[in-house]
Order: sequence, then C-alpha cells, then structure tokens
Amino acid sequence: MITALERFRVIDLSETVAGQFCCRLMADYGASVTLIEPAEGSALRCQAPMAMSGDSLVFRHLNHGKILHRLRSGATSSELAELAAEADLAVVPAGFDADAIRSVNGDCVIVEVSDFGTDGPYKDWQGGEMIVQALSGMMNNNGEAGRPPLFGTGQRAAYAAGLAAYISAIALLLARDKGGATRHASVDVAETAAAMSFPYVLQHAYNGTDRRRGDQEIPAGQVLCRGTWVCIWVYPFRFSAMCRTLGLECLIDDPRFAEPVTRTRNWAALFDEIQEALVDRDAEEVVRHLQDAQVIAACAYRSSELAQNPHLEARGFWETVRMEGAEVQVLGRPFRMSRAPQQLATEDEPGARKVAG
Amino acid sequence: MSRPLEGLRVIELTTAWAGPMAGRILAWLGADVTHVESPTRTNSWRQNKGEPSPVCYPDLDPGARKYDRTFLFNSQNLNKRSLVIDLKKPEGLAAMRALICASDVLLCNFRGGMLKRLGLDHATLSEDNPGLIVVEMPAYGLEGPHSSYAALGPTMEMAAGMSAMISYPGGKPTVTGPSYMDPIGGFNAAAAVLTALVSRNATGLGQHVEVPQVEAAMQLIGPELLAAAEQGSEPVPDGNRVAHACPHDCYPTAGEDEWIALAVETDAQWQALARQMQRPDLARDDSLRHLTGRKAAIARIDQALADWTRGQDKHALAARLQAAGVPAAPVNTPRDLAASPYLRARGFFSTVTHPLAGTHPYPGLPFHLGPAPADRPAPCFGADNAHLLSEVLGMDAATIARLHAARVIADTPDAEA
Repeated sequence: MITALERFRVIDLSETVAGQFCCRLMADYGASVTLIEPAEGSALRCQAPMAMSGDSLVFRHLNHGKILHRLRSGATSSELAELAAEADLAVVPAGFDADAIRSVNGDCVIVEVSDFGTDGPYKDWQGGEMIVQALSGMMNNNGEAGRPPLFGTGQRAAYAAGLAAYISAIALLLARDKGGATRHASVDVAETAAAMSFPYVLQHAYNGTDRRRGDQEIPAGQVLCRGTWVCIWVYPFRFSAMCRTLGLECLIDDPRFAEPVTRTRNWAALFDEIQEALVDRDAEEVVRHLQDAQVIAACAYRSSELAQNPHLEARGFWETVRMEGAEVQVLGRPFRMSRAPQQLATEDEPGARKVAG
Repeated sequence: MSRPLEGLRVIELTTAWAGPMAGRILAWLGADVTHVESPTRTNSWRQNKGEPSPVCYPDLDPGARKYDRTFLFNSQNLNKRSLVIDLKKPEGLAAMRALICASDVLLCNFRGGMLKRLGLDHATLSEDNPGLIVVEMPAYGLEGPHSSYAALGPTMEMAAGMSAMISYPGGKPTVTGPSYMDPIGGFNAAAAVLTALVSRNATGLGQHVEVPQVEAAMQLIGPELLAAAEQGSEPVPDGNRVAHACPHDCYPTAGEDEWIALAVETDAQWQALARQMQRPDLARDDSLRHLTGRKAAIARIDQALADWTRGQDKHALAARLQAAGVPAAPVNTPRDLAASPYLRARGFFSTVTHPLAGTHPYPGLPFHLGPAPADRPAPCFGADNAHLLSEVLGMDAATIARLHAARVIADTPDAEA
C-alpha cells in the first residue's frame, strides 16, 4: 500500500467533482478517507457517463479507495460529530457550517470547494465547465479565428480545482505539524480556471494588447494518417529534419517554406503537402520516425485507443480495484513515488489495487 | 503569517511553463526556490531566441535585457531566485551538486534521463543527502516504449486523449489555447512534492517521484476514458455541444469577436431563457420542453438565440441571465479578465514592481491559506548567483569572481541561448 499520507484521516462531505477528486488523491497516497453520503446517496452517483452496469463512472473515478458511509435518514448532528471527531481534514462545499466540525475537533483542517465561493459578485451564479472556462479567458484562446471559441471538454477545471484543494490541504497539514494556526482554505473552480489560462492578461497589462484566437499560432499542425490524427511541432531548426524524415526533401528549398517567415505565412500550404504525403501512413510509425529525428510529434489518441495503448500497458497504467462488491477498472495514480511502491493488497481492503491484465 | 513551506530550499531545473509553475506554487507557499538556467540555454519563456516579438514586452519594447522583460518568464517565476550556471563545466556541475545536496527538493522538467547523465539523480545524491526529494516530470514517464519521446503541451494534450474530444463538427483535434497541459503538470508536480514532504516528516527520508504528465492529466477526463475503455467507442465531438445540456454553446454579442456562453442544463432553465428572450412561442412549444426535443431542434434554437444575443453587451446579458437562473457567462478576453469584478474581489491580482519591467498587476494562484505576504518579482537572469554561492556554499568573493570571469556563472546569456 501507498503510505505517504497514512497518518491522515479525511472526511469527504464535498458533493462536488473538485472536492471528491481532492479526497480521492488523498486516498491514492495512503490517507484513510471516508466519503460521507446523504441518505439518498451522493448526487455524483447520477452523473454521466455511465458504465454498462448502470453505475456512474464519474462516481467510480472519484471515489474508489474511499470508505463509503451513508448518513442515516434524518441524520443527527451527533452522527457527523462522531465522524469528524478524529478527522485531520474535512473537505466541504461552500456554505457548510464549519462549526459542526470545529465544535468537536478544533484541530481539523477544513477546505471549502465551490465554483465561485461564498462571497464576491458571482456567489449566486451557476457555474459548470463551459461557464468557468468562458470567464477564465481560456475559451477566448481556444478554436479558430473567425469561428466560435471552444470551451474544451469534460470538467477539467473542476478536476484542477481538486488538485488545488489537495495542495491547499497538504500545505495546511504540514503547517499544522510546525505549529501553524491556520485551519481553513477555500478553493474556487472559477479562480483555478483563471490561474490556468495562458497569462495573456499579463501581456495586456504590459502593453495593452488584447490577444485573440489565431493571433499567434503555435508552430504546429495536425495531419490525418491512416485513421489517426498526428500533431507535428515544427521548430525552425528541425524543419529540414522533418522534411527528410517524411520523404519531403523537395520542400526544404521550396521558396514558400525555405525561411521561417515565409513558412509561417504559408503554414496551411505546408501542412497540405505533409497531409498528402502521410494520408496512407501508419500514425504510430510516423511519430516514431519523427521522434527518432528529434522532431516533436504525437498521435491524437481517441479515448477508446488509450484503453489498449501499448505504452500505457507496458507501464501498468490501468488498474483493477474492488469497489462496492465488484472488480472495476480505474486509472493509475497521477504520480509514482519510489518509497511507496504499488503493491497488491487484500481484496477487501479499501484502496486495494492490482495492475490490470 | 509564516507560510507552510518556510525553511524549505527547492532547486528548479525547469523551463517554459509546467516546471516553473510547480516551483512558483512552492515559492508562494513559502519555499526558497531557485530557478536554474545555463548561460548557453536560457528558459524558453525568456524569449531569447530569434527576433523579439514586441507583444511580449512592457510598452512593446524589448529593451536592453529583453530576456528579463518578457511577460512569459515574469509571470511564472515570482518569488524565486535565479542561478545561471554552466553544468557542462566541471566547476559548474560540482557547485550544482553541492547546492542540491544542501537543499530539500530538486524539481526537474527536462527529458527523462538528464539527471542521471549529469550524476544529479536521486540514487546518486541521496547518498550524501538522504532527505532529498527529487521530482521529475517526463511527459510519458521514465519507462515504457514512448518514454524517450520529446513533448510539448499541445502534443501531450493529443497523447492524453483530450484533443480528440475537442473539435468543430467533422474537424480535426484541437489543442486548448497554446498549452493547457502545462498548468496541469504544474499542479501535479507541486502536489507530488508536498506528498513526499509528508512522507519525509514521518521517515526522515526523501525519495524519487515521477510525474508522467500525460498520465497525470488523463485523470481530468477519467470518466470519459473509462467509458470508452468499457464500451470501445466514444462520443463524436461537436463544437461546444454536450450530451447533458441543450442549448450549450456560445453566441455572438455586440463588438467584434465577442461572445456569450449559455449552458441550459434543465427544462426550468430553458423556460427561464425563453422568458428572458421574450419568446412565449418557444416557452410554450411542447417539442422544446425537454432535452431530446431541444437537441432535435437545435438549428432553430441556435438561430433564435444568435438573433437575440447579437447586438447585446455580453457582460450585462450574462448578469441578467444568471439573475434569472440561466447559467451564462461572457467569453472573457484578456482585457475583460483584467477588469473582472470576480477576480478583483478574490484578490487574484497582485501589484508587483520588477526592476526592469516596471509595475504591473500579476495574475495569481488559487490558494487562500490566510493573509499572503507581498509577491516579489521574477528574478533577473543570474541575479542571485553570488548570494547562493556565498551564503549556501560558503565560497569567497574571489572564487565567485573567478567563476564569473570564466562564465561558469553568468548574468548575461550567450548570444541566442
């Protein structure tokens, strides 16, 4: 078992993607985490996508490795007090009555996670991924000039806020060890999203420019090989190497592409040429040849392709855990620690994992 | 207030965004973080190669030391020191090794294997410094068939399965802005350092931590990956449209390239939106009452919405819709962000004076652990060489001057480094 955080007890009252992700990371690295669900079950149990069994894959992803505890119907404050009495950390939603925890356990670190916080001008706004990405400045960057901006995918800002909550929580627990007095932190998904946006707001502060989509294209492009898109990054000093690797030596002295300035101007034409040459090529092979020639490239994997990806398989990325009486597949931990090797544990133990396959 | 990581020394061998952001988080939490560069290889975000792009600099002017004046480097290296040292010179490598041995954390986001080649890997250095924590951030991990592949944010987003989920209808995979993977890697690496610190408090021992950035980022789309793994297929991306809400898109507003995002997740929100549009016909239309019907009629709804939003102010309209219970937001540009009432109320910006770039409001981090001390500006190139060599390694002034003359340490980069 992973032991880094084994001395911490955590209660997860968050009822959000961000909060439950924060607590799952705690469980990943050895903390004893109890998910406290309302009597009717966590609302996240109803969130799509669903497994073929009908169970929520969001709930599975966020809560494997935790002890699942349902409050009794009409739960009294004494039930929560009992659970909170020994906790080092409680992760709670905005507006949670912290006194319910403080009154029994003044030493508990409390991290509050929500979209917009409990004060400020948007405290009554409704969030969600596209809303926070629009506000963050990220959406304005994403997509093609002349077309609508794109928000991205999934609930990435919420997960990132879960990481921010994890960082906040561990920082306060470390400070507590040294006698620090602060026991409370708050994390907003909307602010996390803004902190992850490319710092064009500082560019604006430096010189007043207001960056828009397509103003400054990255030196990269995508081509469709046999069934899979490949992204190729063309640094000026690797242009010739790329052309030779792809059998496109004729482009090296082509006046449209010979100099970086003209190449940028004719970027679409360059990628038309590359596309024509690669249409029937195997994507993995193209990427391997380009990487061998020190040209940065990658396959744009579809999510179904990642399930059988040989690289991830060789690394033992996919794992099987036991959750609510069933063996289910989950993703491996986000980082690997040398002093906490992944080991098999007894199947009944929360957090027991084995590498798939 | 004393901050959680005060007393902790971090050495950062990083470049661009992901690694420096991890160090910036640790510095914000109180660690003494030194960003290390070479005279022959500057941090790429110092923009020291090629013709300077005016938009990177205060008042569009690169100035005499352009590498100290770019908003890119200066955004991610607040509260740090700068050491510029040539690891290809034996004395430089020896000083670096001594510095790491006097530190708590080494953070590295260069390609896997670099630390080992330099003899700066955890296995080697932990003999002298058993408490040392070494965190590496290789894109694809230290082992596996793709571990030698080089990567940048956009190619990592492709490899993580995200880009194929983001596309205009029928279009090609899209990257999120210039690079969305870097701040994700930054958060993950900071989390890794903190986790290893908890372990060290209990055992007294440091360790080697690997943050494979692609795998770590896959957590952010975990449910979608699990669904595809189980079912063997995935939804086809369709712009901003999603399965659980409709309409869910952005619509043009007054001004050039100005937009409002609307996310109608419930039937009640649809009714509220129709009322705000003063379109009782839409509100009464039974075919639009539920999600399935609205999806079937999305072309008609999109047209009605765009006709209504076009010409309206995105900020005022979003506030009005939110007040009416409809999730909506302006698609903010950098200028809008600078004026955001929410971010201002949150204390997101801090005003910092940089000796060569002037005084500006800097975007912050989403951590609120009590009152924070004032931020210090990103360091100028090599600004802390003498301090580190004398205060940490105990070198005398004559030795430091000799190393400077031999360009083992430097405060200007080699040409085009």
